[in-house]
Amino acid sequence: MSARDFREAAHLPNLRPDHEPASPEELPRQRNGVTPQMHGRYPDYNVLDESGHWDELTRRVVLGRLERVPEIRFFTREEAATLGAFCDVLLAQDREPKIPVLNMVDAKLFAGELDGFHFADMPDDRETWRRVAAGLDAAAVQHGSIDFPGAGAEIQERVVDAFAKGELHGQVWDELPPSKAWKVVTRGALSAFYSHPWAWNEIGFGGPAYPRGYARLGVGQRENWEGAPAFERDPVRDTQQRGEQEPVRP
Amino acid sequence: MTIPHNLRTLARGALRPPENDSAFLLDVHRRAVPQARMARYDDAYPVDLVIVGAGAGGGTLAQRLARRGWKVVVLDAGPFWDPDRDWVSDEAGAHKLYWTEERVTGGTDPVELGKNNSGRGVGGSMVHYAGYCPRFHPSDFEVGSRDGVGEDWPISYQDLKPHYERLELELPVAGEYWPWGDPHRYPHTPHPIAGGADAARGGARKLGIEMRVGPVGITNGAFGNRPHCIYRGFCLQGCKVNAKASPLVTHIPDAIEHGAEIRANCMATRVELDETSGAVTGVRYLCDGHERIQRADAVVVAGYSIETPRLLLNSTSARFPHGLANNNDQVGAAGGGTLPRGDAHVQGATPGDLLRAVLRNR
Repeated sequence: MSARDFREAAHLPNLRPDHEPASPEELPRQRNGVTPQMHGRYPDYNVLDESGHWDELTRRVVLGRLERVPEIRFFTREEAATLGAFCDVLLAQDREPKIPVLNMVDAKLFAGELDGFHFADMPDDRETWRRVAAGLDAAAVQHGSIDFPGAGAEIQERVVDAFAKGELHGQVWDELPPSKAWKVVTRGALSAFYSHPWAWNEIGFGGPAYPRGYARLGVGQRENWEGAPAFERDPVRDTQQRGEQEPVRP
Repeated sequence: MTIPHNLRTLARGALRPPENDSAFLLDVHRRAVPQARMARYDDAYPVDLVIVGAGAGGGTLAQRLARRGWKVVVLDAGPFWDPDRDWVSDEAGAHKLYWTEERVTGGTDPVELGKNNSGRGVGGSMVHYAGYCPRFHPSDFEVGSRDGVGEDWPISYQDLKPHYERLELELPVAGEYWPWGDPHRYPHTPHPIAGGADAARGGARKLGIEMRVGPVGITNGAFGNRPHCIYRGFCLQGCKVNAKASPLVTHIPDAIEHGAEIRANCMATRVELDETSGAVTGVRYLCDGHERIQRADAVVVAGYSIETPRLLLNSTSARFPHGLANNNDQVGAAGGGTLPRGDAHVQGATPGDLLRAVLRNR
């Protein structure tokens, strides 16, 4: 797998023989602004450079997400540890900088900002999150760990994989349909993740774009402020630019 | 007023919709609907009509009847939106646009709702819909007898056709000439398409499949005091530009100009009846925590497929113990009063990037 393969659809997990995502280590490193774990498909693009072009109301909302990371107020300390580890596995956030997804989810649940519906055989979304925390710990115990955060990466991934396939059983999961619970927590975690400007940098998203809008709509065109994708950077030069990983010369 | 086809094509967006000045009543410099001259009716004064819900149904009806001299009050559970002040150009920040009070979905085959199922506020769900405005295909009215699914409609395409034409002028709708069913054109030319659509269209053409740029209720060019779309991509978060159609900008301004009152932040709880005659007398509603009743000679419930049945079922009385219009227990029942709509769409991935896919198909 070389960096240039990210240009082709073949790097997508379902098209790869092992069905695992390609290692983002092959991508260039982010040089302008921040992306989750500093993986950069658009290494010189920082959406926050454009915030001067947004309307005041939107700017306050978006920058507020960066400036004020909400404290955990809804979940207990144990639940937060379990769900934080779960979100890290789910979103492949294996090191800093990480988008504080659980804090954002916690703030929404604390404020009672729910999606407005739940299935008749499911509790309120807030209760679903709490039971998922208990259920993940129980599933980790079934694998011989003390709890989910205390389990190794391999067990954590196996539990999350079984959760995704609706294949968790026993205790909590006899009362809580895992596939419906999976939808609730992934919907919450993904909306939080992709509401953060660091995730926009990672996917090259233009952000609010009001009142400026877009004028260049055709394929292969982009606004002069939009980031250029860089899947094909010279890996040697790129490694040198990463600084701390500069190769040792004889 | 009938305009010949070729003249209509030539005039395009310059045509003013007959009997609806909404786009011209908006402010050039602000997006909010001017309300300074809006009528205010007393609760005790029996107006001609109370409409529950200021969305696609209620907002349009209010404009039509106000034009004909009816004294109309429209109640909406949500706010009277000011796009400049209330909406942000951000997905997570648009949470308050949606009806997020708790709803439970159940039964043998429960429908999974989304977070943006219905509107709450003046403009209704059209405030946060994508803008897609296709007409029904004539055969869509006969799916029961043709395809053996669902029910036939009690009306036909021909019954609706003049209304489609009129609304397409009022929204206005921009789209490519539509060759299928009852071929027709749209008042505004189609919007430019994005790269993904371009690649799909090229691929379809290679396979001999005809594709058209679909109709959307989004101005293509200035329309009255509504500006051109800026292709910002936040149609589902409320159009801060006022380019996308919703009754907030397409019908409410004209309704207000003709004497309708839009009473926002008022949640209807019950349709009031005269127990002896069975006639409606008004609507009970909650406003700022106070219960009030607006007297009216007629009531229209236009609250979408969840809140309309809810209000009818809550309006029980000795005469109608099962709620209004519900003697056959069909209100809100799947397949009876409520018809979920199927939505067919196709997804695909191109190998490599889009530019190459487009060039390959040329």
